[in-house]
Amino acid sequence: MATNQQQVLISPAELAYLHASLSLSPEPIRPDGRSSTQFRPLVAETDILPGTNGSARICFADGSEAIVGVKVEVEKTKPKAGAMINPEEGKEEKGDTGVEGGGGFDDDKKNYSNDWVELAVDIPGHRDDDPGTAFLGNMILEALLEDGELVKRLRINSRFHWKMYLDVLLISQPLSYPLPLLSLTTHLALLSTRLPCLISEGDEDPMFDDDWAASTNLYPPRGEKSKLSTSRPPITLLVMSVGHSILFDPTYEELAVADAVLAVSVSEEPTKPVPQDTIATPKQAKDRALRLLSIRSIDPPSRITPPGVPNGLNPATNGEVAGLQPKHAEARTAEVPATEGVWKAPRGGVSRSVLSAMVFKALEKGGVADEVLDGLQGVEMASEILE
Amino acid sequence: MLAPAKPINCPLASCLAWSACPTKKFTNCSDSELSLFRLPPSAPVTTPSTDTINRFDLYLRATSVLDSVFSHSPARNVAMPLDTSTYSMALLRVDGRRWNELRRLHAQIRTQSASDGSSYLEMGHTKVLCVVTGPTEKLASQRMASSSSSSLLDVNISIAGFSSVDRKRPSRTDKRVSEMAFTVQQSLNKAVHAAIFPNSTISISLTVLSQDGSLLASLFNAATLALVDAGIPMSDYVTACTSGSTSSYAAADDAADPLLDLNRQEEQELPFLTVATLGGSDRVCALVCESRVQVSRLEGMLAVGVDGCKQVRTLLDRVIRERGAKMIEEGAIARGDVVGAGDEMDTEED
Repeated sequence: MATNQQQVLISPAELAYLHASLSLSPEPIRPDGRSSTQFRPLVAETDILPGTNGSARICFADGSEAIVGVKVEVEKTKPKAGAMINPEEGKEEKGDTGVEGGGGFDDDKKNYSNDWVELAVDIPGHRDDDPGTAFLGNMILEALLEDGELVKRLRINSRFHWKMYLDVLLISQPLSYPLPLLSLTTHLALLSTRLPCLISEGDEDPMFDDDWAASTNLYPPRGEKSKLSTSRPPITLLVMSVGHSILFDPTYEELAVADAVLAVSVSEEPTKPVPQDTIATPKQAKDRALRLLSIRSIDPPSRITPPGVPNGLNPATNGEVAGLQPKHAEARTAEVPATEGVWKAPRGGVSRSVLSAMVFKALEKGGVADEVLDGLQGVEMASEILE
Repeated sequence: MLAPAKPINCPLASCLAWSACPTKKFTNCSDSELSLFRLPPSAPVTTPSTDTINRFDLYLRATSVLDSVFSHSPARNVAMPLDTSTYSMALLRVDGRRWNELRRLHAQIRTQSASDGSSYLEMGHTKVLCVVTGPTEKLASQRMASSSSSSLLDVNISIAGFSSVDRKRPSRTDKRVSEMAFTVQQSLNKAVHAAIFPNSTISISLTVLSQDGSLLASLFNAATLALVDAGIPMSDYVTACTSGSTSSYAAADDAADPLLDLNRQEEQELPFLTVATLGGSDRVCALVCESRVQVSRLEGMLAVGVDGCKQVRTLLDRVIRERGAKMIEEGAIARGDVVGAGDEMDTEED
């Protein structure tokens, strides 16, 4: 977790207290009084920058703030070569049959490329080639590409496509791990993205309508007639476990005592496109099918050896000091029974049942992902009303 | 192969370059080669020789195709050169302002709750966010790096890739950006009472969301507002604006008027300078001019710029006072704590 502060400025006694209250069952007690699946309250707005194709801003209640701007350019598609379609994409294509029916794409000309989307993350005080920043950006991009829906929407014809640039800016200092914030902001920015209306036909050189009012949404709003499927951009959630309790959207203090942290990317199962003559009713949470796109495990600060620990006591070095006999034999023993009120960094792995419960809780019907997608849909609808 | 290696701006030259490689066809040249043929619409049409006439047609086709391809961007202006000669007719600028008028200046402070100070500033369509963190203890690494210059402020500018018309990949090593950061840091350092904070650092991070001229001036103004919001004692506001001249260097036009607060279109065409002053005084603390300008016009430009800075100070001061009044209304601070009841608002108490 390189984008977070490496050193945790919380005393061992506080850590022990946090750990004890977070691992309470059945319902853990979080420092800010939230329930285990509750997100921090947030303020969101879309279409904030008229110079972009789509933009969004989200502020969490703790003050962390992010802005995402989307720009697109027309680019010539590279002529189809044998190695053009990468294996995952080919597999993905076979997997979903929902879009095939009325997607309007010729089956033999599917030369989508993951290069069509570029994502840059900017975090204050961090270089853009910092490994933590790059990892963060790739996690968001991975979900977008794995979903496959975004790249399909960027195709113009067999010779041209839209090249999309996503610029993700974190405005505040990274207080907690900013992944959920950046992912939700990206989701909203993509929902507000508009592309100029195409007036040329077939494989002609693309011509566009000058009228910006005639532009079309990249992700058409629910209930609108469209030949595209009604899927939404994916979101990435941060889930952590302490003992047997599973917490969503952890704060900085909570991450300091985490056993395991997972980034779970979720998207909706794409449905059949809405026929041109009927208008579908907006989808409700109950008939939304979620699918898992990716899981990444992230090293929490609790797994990083704090500074000032001698090698003789460090489990990472197995208690060995170069050229000396280990003085502290207890560092070599795998597990020391925990003492009440004394903080002990987690050692060893996390049981498989906990990991599967973490993913299940994110994906279950009426679970966190459902709730978040509903909330974001609310932002989208509110901005439409304002227009 | 004699294909041109760099953009050529003369249509005839590019035609000749094409005629030198007769095997090459328009249909299988790549994008980068096509872009060589993008010319400003005002480029003089020369009569091509009979040998090159077909390729000249191709060039025309290429430009028209590309113009349609590239004109999709929502905020794209038509790439017409600014016709400054119209100014003398009605004494109105391209956006309808008179010579001494500022663009709309909108500012907010305390936009972000997690930081010590924050601000958002719009000067026309230039939009800048500023976040101040500190004063904090200098880290060991910072102490080592800045042992020679004991600077209190640490200015960091990031220009968003989507801020200009064409998307630009932000680069860390952009010399222009680091120079702007240095200018802001040096000028603000003089206004801040640095002696109060030994061994500390205040980090100012500026994010440019949209660019339409007067960028450096907006950075100055946003940073000043955020520093005031953070409660850093300063001797006065540091305010900045740009000023230019209505005719270019080459035109020996004696009747050139100075202009205040240039937008991007004007900046590209006319000589301009950025001036920052300390408070309502005439004390200039930064003056940046990167274009060729005749010395006789400099005095007028500077006078207009300094006057613009005074106007900006009044506007920024109003923003701060309105926010302060609102905080008293909300009960965030006690009524008795009002600082600087008179005209001068020297310091802000935390």
